Amino acid sequence: MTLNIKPTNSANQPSSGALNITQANTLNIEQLNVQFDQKKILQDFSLKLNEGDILCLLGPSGCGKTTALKAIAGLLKTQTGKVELFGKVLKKNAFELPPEKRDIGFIFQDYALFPHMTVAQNIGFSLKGQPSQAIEAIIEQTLNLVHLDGMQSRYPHELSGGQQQRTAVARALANRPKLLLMDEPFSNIDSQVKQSLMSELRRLLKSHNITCIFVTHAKQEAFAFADKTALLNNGKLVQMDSSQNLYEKPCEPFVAQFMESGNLLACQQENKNLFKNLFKKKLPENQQDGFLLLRENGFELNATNGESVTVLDSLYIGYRYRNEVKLAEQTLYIESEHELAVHSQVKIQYRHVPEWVTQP
Amino acid sequence: MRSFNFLSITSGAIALLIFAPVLALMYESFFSASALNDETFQNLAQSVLWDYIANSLQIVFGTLIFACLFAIAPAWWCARYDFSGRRFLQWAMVFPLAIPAYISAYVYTEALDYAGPIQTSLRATFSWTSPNDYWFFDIRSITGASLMLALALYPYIYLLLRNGFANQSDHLEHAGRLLGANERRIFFKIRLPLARPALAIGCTLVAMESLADFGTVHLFAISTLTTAIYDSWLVYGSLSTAAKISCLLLLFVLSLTWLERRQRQAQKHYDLKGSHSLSRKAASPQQLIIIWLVCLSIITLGFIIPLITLIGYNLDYLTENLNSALWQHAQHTFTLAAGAGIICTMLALLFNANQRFKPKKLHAAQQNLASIGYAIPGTVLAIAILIPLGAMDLGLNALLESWNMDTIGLVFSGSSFALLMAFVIRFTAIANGSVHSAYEHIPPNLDLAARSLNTRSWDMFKHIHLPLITPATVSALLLVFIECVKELPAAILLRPFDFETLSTYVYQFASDEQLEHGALAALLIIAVSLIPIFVLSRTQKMS
Repeated sequence: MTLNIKPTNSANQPSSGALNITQANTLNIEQLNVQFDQKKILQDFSLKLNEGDILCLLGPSGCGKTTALKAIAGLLKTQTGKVELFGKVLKKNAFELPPEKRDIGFIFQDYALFPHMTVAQNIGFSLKGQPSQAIEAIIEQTLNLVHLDGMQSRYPHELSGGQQQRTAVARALANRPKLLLMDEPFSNIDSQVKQSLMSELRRLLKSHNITCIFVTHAKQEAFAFADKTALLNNGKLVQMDSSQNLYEKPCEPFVAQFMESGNLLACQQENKNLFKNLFKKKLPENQQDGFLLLRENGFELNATNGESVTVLDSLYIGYRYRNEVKLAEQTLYIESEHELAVHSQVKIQYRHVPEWVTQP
Repeated sequence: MRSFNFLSITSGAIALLIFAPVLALMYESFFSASALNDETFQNLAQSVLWDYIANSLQIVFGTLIFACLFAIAPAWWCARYDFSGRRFLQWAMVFPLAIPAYISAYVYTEALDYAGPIQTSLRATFSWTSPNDYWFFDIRSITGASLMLALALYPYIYLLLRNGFANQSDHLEHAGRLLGANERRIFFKIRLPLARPALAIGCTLVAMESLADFGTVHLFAISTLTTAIYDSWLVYGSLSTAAKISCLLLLFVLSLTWLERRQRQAQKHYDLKGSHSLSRKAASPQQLIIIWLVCLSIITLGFIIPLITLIGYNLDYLTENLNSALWQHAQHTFTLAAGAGIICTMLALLFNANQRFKPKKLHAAQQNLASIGYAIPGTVLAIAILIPLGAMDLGLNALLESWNMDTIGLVFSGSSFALLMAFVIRFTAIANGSVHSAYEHIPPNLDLAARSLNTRSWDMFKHIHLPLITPATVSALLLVFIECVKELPAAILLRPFDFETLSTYVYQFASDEQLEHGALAALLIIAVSLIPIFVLSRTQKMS
């Protein structure tokens, strides 16, 4: 299946507005709105997802990403909008399918394992009404899937954080959900084991072609786990794309700042030629005032025709140095192989064609 | 550091001292001269002892059934639903705790008696003429006593269960629903099992209290283990028989305590890490009506009817009651209760500071030892205290006599010292619990920070711990004070001649069928008992 998300070849255009391609989707959300009292938590939230895709809902805390997740699962009251899963209407205007009928699996941040039930009882919770042998077979199979063989009679408090998470995944998968939602699934995992746990879980989801949306505020998790990333801010979807495009071609300054893509050099049309010497290549055309996105590792140092900057600080960050430099009134961060002397003057030049980032 | 060795020794000695009467009780039951040849007990064991045990257990089970009936549904409603008047109702459900069961028992006996207003009007309506014409519920029965006890004790279950429900995470319900469970299945498979430890703790507390009850069963002339202890000592004058029955009762109570501690262990695992709480659902109009109707009936039975009756009595006998000896007894009671409160609180501070500065298993054991007093029924405790104090009095007087001096009578067992000791032993656990939980909320890093700033232990206690635990210390003092005012069975057995606490004063009138004269004192007890409920409702609202 092809990517139905329009690739943002023009970074000036917010991709959220460009998703109206008609195609059969696994998940289709249109203009979903959530508000508590008078406060709008989620505004005109729309996205489409294909089967087997792993989407990351990324954003700062309070941006509405968990609300979006719970709205999809039917765990909170939504106002207008439409949600469809494999053509089945989960929500349309006033109609709301109750959560137990949505075929959605949900992994909570605290995993919400039933503390009075064993691992096996937790996993088997959704499997009522089947012959007990069949249930046992499914439990065993699922345990095997998440590598928890032999743990069936443990209680949640007897498990490590990673094991608890895998139990929660197993419990959700045993119910054969059509969509798996995960709320900050890695926030309670030690950083040492996080990487291996993420790749293991990703392999599991991919091998079973499970469609998944997960929420996080850490962009590293988006890079490591997701196929696509949707960035939210103040209840609005700002940009949805591959994590790489999000990082390298941010559609607005917020995205660049949140992804820590690089320096944003404020640039007005009238003084566009102010830093002429800074750029090796010709600047792309742009009609508006905006920012130029300059990668921190994209600078040539001691360039003969370069722009002169003053070094304010030089910090070792592993195999290289990150330097804070002053260019006219603006502060830039540039990487260098060697430490630069503080207060010294350096001539720098940007090697690549910079991206324009404009305010929407 | 030497001062803290001193602290350790002091707290250890006090813990032992608090536990000593229990040891004396065992000694008196099994090893003393009178215990080995105890005819009273042998007669008792061959005749009615088993009936007493059966009665006691029936009352415990009856009370549990009624208390659960009163507590479970309101606890769920108040935790789960939002409805108009909820804030008032959820605290009003606790009010019956302020009415001692024997007062309700008296009030309902009067009301449901053959000559009482209900039967009289029934006879008038249906023109019945004699008791043979109709069946009527006899309140002076095991069922009646259980009902009275349940009305006074169900708030324990209600409070624990309500908190149990309220602390359940919404996430569990959401997880259940997303796994296909409907509301019914979620309640029975997730909510109720999770609340089970809270329910069990509440039930063991109610069981212990009903097992230890003296006033209600004595008033209804039902023979139980507590009345047997009372009779063995006061009627047959056999201390060793009283001690033996006390040991038996203690065995039941300690098994219940053990059960309770086990449940608390279980509950620890049920507490979720994230402190989410249950969100409320708006109640439908039908639900609103049912909730108010049921809760209000329970409150009416357990609180309003006894209160109004007492106020009525009091209006009739106001001048006499105002001019009675009540004020002198009240002054005695409050002085004694305040003294016990201060001692208990000081002990609690000592135990906890000691445990904080030198966390050792031994110090934790001291706390546990000192806390066991609360589980001991008042009647048992009274007998247990009489044994060593009586021996001390005998010894002291013999000593004085050998020195050719005048004997001084029963200075220990026959003075308010015995009563004070009983209060301290029984209620140190309350003060300890309050101070202990406040201490648990002080992060250990605070101590380390203070140490790193060169603070000595005493200064740390004075400038850091004490200010932080002041509210808990005050509430410890207050709670002990109130419990002392309410305590009946130990006070009845231990009060010196011519000395009454408010409770014994009221109870005397109740057993003489003249509660009218004790109504003002009863109202005073109820007013004092309501204080912690109001304090609790305020602090919980704030958090």
